[in-house]
Amino acid sequence: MSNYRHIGKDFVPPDIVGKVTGKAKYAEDFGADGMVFARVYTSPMAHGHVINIDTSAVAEMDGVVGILTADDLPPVEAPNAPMLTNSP
Amino acid sequence: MAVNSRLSRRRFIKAIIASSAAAAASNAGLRAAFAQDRPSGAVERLVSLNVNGRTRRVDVLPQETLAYTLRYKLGLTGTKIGCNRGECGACTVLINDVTNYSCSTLTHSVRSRNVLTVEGLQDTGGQLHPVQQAFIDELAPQCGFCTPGQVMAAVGLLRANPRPSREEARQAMSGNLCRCGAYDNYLNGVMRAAGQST
Repeated sequence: MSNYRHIGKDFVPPDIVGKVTGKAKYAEDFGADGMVFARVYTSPMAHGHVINIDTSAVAEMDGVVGILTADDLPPVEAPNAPMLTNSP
Repeated sequence: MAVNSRLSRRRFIKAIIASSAAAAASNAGLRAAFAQDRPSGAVERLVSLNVNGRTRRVDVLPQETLAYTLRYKLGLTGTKIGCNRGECGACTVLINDVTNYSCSTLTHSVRSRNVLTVEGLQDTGGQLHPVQQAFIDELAPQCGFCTPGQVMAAVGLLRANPRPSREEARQAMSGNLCRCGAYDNYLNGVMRAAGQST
């Protein structure tokens, strides 16, 4: 029992000061100059087969740095499922 | 009781209409004198904010919330956005020593006020505020996401009421939710910090 370094012992957790001072960073607190933001455009239909996605209207829009579709991702093998699909 | 024969409902209503029309006419002249080429309701976007004792110049949209400005324009990410709808208290800051939900405060409304966030509590030597030290001593933070809001709520309480009862402290901290359920630890921390102050 006394061989444990932390269990049953009184100690100050190493991250607690950062939490009370606000210095501890959570996911949304990270950022960088010039960072880009992703927005998910979900399928307008619950179930179907995507034949074509026409991105011409937005691809040249100011501020758009890229558009990712299911075709841009590498294929994955079962039991993994792809992150984007053309057959929702 | 003598009745003024000149006073009647008709004359009274006519007088009201006449006086408001006159006021509107004079106001229109005043506004024309100060007219600027902006739609009504527009505000100057570059403003000076008093945050943590420092004056910060920042471009603020009219509809921008204080939480957004603090986090993304001033780099003060200590203030958290939990619900963004005035329910959880993670965004609690002090405005002129009064606790506020910064997610529900328009930044333009605090232009002439003092804003204090969790980053502004430590003194210049880096010494922790008694509330911060008390929360450490009582092991209040678990995940720590609600902690900055809890700290500011506690600081606001102790500035207004330096020796609260446990029940008063509970009431004052009731605006801060904690999904980890560390309420008791935070309360112990507040009472501990209250005991330390004079």
